[in-house]
Amino acid sequence: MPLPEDVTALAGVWVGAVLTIMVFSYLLSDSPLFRVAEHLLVGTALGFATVVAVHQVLIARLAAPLLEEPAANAQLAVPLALGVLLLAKIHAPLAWVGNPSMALLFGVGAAVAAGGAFTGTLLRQAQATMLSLSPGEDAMVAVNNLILVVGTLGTLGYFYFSLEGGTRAGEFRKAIARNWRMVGRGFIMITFGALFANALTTRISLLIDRVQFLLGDWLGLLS
Amino acid sequence: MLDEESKVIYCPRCGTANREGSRFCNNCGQDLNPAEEVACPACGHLNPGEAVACANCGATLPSAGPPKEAEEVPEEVPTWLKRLRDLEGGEEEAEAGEKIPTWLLRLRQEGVAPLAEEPAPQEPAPEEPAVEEPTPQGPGVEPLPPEAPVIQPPEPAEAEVPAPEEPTERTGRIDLAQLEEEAVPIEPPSPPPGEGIPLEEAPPSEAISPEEAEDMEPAASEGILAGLVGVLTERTAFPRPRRRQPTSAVPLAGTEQASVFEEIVTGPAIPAPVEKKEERERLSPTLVRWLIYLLVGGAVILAILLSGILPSGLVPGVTAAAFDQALSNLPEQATVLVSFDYDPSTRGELGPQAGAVLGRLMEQEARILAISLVPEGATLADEALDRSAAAAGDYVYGENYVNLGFVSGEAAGARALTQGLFRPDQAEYREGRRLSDIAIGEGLTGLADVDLIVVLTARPEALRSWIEQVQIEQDQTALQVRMVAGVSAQADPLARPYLRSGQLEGLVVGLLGAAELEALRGVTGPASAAVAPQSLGHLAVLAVILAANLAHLWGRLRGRS
Repeated sequence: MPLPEDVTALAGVWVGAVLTIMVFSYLLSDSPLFRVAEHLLVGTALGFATVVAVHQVLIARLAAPLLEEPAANAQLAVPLALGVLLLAKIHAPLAWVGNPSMALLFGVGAAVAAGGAFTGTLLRQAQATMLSLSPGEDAMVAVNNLILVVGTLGTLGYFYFSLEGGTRAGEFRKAIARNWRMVGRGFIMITFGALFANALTTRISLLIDRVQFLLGDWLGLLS
Repeated sequence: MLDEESKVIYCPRCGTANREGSRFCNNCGQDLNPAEEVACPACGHLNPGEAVACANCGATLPSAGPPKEAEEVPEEVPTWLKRLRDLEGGEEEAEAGEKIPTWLLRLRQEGVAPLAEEPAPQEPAPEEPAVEEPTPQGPGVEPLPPEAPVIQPPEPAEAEVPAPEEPTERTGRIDLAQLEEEAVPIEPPSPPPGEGIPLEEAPPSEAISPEEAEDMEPAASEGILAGLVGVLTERTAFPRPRRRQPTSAVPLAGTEQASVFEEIVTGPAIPAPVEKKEERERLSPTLVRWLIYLLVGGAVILAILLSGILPSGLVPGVTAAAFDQALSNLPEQATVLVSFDYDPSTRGELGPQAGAVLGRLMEQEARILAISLVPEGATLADEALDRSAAAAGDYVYGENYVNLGFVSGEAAGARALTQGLFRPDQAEYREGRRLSDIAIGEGLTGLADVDLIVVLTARPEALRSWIEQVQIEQDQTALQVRMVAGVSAQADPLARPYLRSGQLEGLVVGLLGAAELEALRGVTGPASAAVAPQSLGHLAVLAVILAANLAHLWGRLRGRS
């Protein structure tokens, strides 16, 4: 007999509140309460992911089509066979049996990621930095473009470590690169600062969510 | 296959298995190859094997050395001993009689009693005075027979000079003509260093008298000469290097330095200037941490409690306006694919975003297809869809919106969506019904039917997967899908370049972006209520940073002054 919806909702709020307080106990110290909450989070997340993978992938997209219309879905036998071979990784002497599956998994994954990164990010982002520095109509746009170009080239120059010296021209080039590297370093520092500030913003947002939950949903102090 | 057991060294103290060749335990730092301890002959104190002088009394220690070296000593048979063996019948015979060498048997024939066959007497021989000769102990040492000639006991004054490193060889009543031919002529004993001549002028080696040899060396305790104390004549056949004894003379400079040191040690203690005042002024890290907690947490809690009173003062930004514009540009009953790529850990930030986006889409009566590249996202999508549908009123699951669930493989999964997202057998998330069997699936053939993709994610990788794998361009037949994104503030710096390059039409960031969307819609939602707490939280953090920098600057200025 299923519990009434109100009861399950109330139980959910109380469990959530207790677990939230257990997590906040970390402010005092690395206490067993925090550890319990942490392990619960990891365990439930893993269990939930497993259930979703079984129901949403293995059954819905593999077993069910194969059982209902095996002829129309005969191509699904290949991933099924590869998946079965992958189970051999559990037993060390037979681990080599799963190597073809692993090779296919990593090979396809790497190829898809590399191809997408080249066409979707590298080319498009490089193209996006090829900007006009002419003042044109809007001076602010030109300034913005200038900052972007200088920052991009400076950051690239920061990671250019080897320059041939010895000659007069070589030493001159090295001096320029050294100063240019400082420009790139400044932009990198600004980027790191922005990353840190944004991470802090995310944490404050999550803190607000939890406090709103405790004060509103649990204690009913908020309207 | 390597034997793992043989490749580790177990710590004698804590039992940790350490890699072969380790000198110290990785866990407790215990020395894993301790040298054999050497007992001081004078006081019995146990010293490390490499010590040359006793740590307790300062007496010179015999070198301990590892057991292996001790076992290798008998293999280095000196020339004179080999010749001696030859004289007695060759090596083979010597080896054959391991316990009693041939030359020792000859000694017996000449009148000396065998050493090994008869037990040692309990009392000394009657014709000899009672001499407490230290009986050699150890493996292979045989007791002396009563008939064995006894070497005179050492003088008490000289008995304190230990020299146990080199075993003393003594000749017995055997013909050593051949041996003496090779021997260095014995010279009269020189006075010991320090008594008559300076240390620097002492010869490197000198002959010693039998008495000195007896005093400095114990009898051989093992090997072929084991148990021969008192059997051989009191005659030293070979000179040996004499150890230099340290002189007792102390240089004048050393004396002066010692007197200065004594004055310092015995003089009254001068209190050192301790900077206790500065330590008192320094706050403990725990207190500082709690101050930060109280300041930030208190600001957030106070702002939430007063959220109805505090003004938000929110002005929508450019990126949020572009996002809203992209939604506004959708045709009537447009098909929008919303990807819920976040999990419960970031739900606090992206949940309000999802609510604002779904509310905006439902205002335009868009057909909403929900999908997720993370397993937990499907459930969170259900929650957000139902909440927004309840607020919209006339939105029905299966007709106006549907949840397609989790797609595995992330980048590869997103790529696969371009091949066959809306297959006839595609099942929805809640009841497993086929997409072709529900109303919203009618007319959907693939990703080309989607007017806009909305990616809600806290991870830049998920956004990249959508952009790189789904929004691709291939010549004129490119599959180009319009795309907007709502990301967490943490992912903002990595998502913003895609907005600038035109790959994203709009971008909302964090709680603030969600509040901007709500403000553009003219509604007050949960995101709007979080603006004031977030602003006060940021102000608190700014105050902490300023205070810390001012304190640091103040400390530096005081240090200079």
